[in-house]
Amino acid sequence: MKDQFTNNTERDEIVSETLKSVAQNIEVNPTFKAELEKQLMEAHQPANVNSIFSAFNRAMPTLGWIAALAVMALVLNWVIRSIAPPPMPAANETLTPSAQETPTPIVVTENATPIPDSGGYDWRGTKLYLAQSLPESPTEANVYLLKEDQRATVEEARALAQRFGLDGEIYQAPGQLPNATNYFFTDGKQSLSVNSNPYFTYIADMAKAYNNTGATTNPNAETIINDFLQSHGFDFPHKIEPAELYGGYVVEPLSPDGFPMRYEFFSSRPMRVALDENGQVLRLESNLMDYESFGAQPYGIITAEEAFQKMMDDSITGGKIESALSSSITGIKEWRYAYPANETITIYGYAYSTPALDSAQPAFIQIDGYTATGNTNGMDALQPNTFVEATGQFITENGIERFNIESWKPSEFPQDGLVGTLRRENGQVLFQTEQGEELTIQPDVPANLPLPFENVFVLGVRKGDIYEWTLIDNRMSAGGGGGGGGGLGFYKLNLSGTPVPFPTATPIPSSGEGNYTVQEGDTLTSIAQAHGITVDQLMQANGLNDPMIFIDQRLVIPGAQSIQPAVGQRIEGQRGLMNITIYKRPNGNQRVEYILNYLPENAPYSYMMLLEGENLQALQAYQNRPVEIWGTVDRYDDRYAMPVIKVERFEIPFPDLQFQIMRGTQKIIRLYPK
Amino acid sequence: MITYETEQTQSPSIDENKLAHDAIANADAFAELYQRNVTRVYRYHMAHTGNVKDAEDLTSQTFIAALEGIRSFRGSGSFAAWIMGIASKKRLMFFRMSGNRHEVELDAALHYPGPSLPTDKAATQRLQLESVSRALKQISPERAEAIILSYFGGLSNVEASRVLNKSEAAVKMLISRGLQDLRERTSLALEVER
Repeated sequence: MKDQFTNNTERDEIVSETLKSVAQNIEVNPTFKAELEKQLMEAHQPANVNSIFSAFNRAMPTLGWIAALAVMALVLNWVIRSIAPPPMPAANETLTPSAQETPTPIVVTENATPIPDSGGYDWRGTKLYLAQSLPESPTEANVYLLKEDQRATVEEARALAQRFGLDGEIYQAPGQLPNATNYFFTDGKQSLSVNSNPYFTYIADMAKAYNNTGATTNPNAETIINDFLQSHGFDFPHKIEPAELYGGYVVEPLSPDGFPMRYEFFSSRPMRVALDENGQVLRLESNLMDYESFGAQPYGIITAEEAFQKMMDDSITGGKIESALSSSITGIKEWRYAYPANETITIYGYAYSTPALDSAQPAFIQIDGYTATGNTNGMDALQPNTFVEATGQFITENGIERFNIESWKPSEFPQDGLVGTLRRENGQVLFQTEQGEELTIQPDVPANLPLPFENVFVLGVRKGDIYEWTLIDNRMSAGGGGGGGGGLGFYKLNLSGTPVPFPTATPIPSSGEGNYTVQEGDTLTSIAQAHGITVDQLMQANGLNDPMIFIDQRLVIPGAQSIQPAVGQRIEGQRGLMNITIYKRPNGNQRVEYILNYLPENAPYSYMMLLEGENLQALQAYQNRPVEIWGTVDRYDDRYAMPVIKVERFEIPFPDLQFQIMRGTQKIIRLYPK
Repeated sequence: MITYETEQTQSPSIDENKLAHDAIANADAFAELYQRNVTRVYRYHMAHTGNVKDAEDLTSQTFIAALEGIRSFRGSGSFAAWIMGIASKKRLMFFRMSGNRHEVELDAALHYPGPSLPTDKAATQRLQLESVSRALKQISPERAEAIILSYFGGLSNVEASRVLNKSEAAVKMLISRGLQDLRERTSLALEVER
């Protein structure tokens, strides 16, 4: 779909500007910043590095939730969010439905014939018909517990490497934390970086994968990937699907009962596979999971028919997410310069050194992903990704191509990527930049490169008017992929057993017009917040041009058009969804955070309030369910940027509300009107 | 050609390299490094997690790890790239261990992006961040990471290339394709036009 409003470059700039402004508006909370600094200073004990963690925990209990504990909190959070009540044990979990029958994907027909006489679903003024009937709901769903990952030992990593035919020197994978080891194996062409047994990355051709940011599709992908997995000893139930959003393919592990293993919002931990243009596996990133069965229960499952009705019902706003997605970018074509073999040439590229685990052994050196040997003296001491100029020869031994260096030095020319037009004139290939400069392209471009070529991207080294290219692609003119159009993805059904108006907004009464006398310590912001209005509104109502205010100054408080309640205001029966997070510490202490997510009248977005009070524990059974609360706005919490409500009482408006557990598979489908 | 670089392309790396060296023994030097880099680390984590709580936890973890590992900083690259490398690892661990909460936040269910924004400025900013954070989850993780390192982490392309272990050009490519994806596949360009 062509953009009719403004050209794509301008739109990219809008996106770019947005990102910049959003980034710059993020400021660290000063209290947090100061506290963290103080604690870091206290923990700064160079003499005894090992004591840092204990020192840190002793000094700063609130920030002592290091990785594992943060995870625990999230896990609990998830558990409660998804299936409470009853409360579940603290562990990672994934849900799959029970094995009653093979899941049938729901397909909405796009074919005009035959139109059924009756039935159908009203969807935004259009009648939609199912191409096939909805499946029976299972009576039970299986739950699995995810086991925590164990870092691979050297022996385990080596065993895994041997399955890929890799052996020999072990290197330390680049960019790791000081106390963490990623084992890196290579034969000069392939590489394997191992974090844990299920978590590793294999690359079949490092030089090829180096600049490859896309992924090609292949009609035989399933066979190719299956053969690859089988021949490398990966034997687990799975299914293979194109990764619609990310490109490439996803190998999705299936549960013992044959269903995809899913977390909330359909996230999963699969393998991702990229194929090259010859239909070979180029990259395999594995992020599999280890789990055990937790047992099957009914969990209040409703019928598929009921679920589908709810999905199609636009009056239900909660618990349904839609996204406009277009298919993955296709059509980006790349041409890479094929360096001649066995002749002395000069190449430009980024040098990268990976140290050996055994520090007595030499480091593994690469230039732009090509393995470099020969006179690499001094390259291991370079800072990572130094752009170098190296003279030598490409040689191939045992099917592995490497660059044998005679001499090298840091490059005096930087790498440059340009957009412009390529054309051939008098046997020369010329490149005209967007600024109108004309450069001579060297060496000659591949015969299958269509010339003239507008809006082309070239990558290489510019030496005055000469441009030595290494890569050419059509990214600026391709990759539309039907952008802007695309299908609709229904990500989650989070439905109730009884049809309810869900949630109904209860307007928070406005604080009303009035006057305020400025007191010591007040700022426009604090006054505005206390009255539930914006600083702009406050300044406007008082004709203020700058934010200076004085003690005892009388300010007019405009009638609050705000959707945020003011401090001291009564909250009467505000309905919203509960959002509860439990933070557990190793010593057994815990902190529970209660947030009410509510939709003020006429507001386009929902807002949140932090709840405080006695006896809120009972709310824990109502995670992600509607509740109504009564209380008073106590203050604004800066850290959360939300009002804090002292809750006096609460009510559960829909006590018999039940949740549905998802069944079957997710598929991105397109909905067409008849 | 258009280059997508943030205003902070030049890190005072030489200065910071000396500080990093001093920081092994000198707590004040570490404090100075912390002051200079805490915002980029925090913004980076905010962009990924979209919420203050997780961003603060991850920022703490990043600096604890940096403090622990300051001896291993060899001064070969910029300190900013080094600390962002740690931030990136911490973030990966966090997402991995928390069951790859890679998808849309739960609360997003109630946040339908609409054409009109609320008047409250802080709320607007929060919502913008949410929509950016959500949009970044819809594009390939590698491209999103390049964009976040550059725009939120304030790294130059060279520095980001070190964190990502890619060539500088590949980073440029990732960023430019990422921006293109954001434009084409998300409503980001439309949502934020003022």
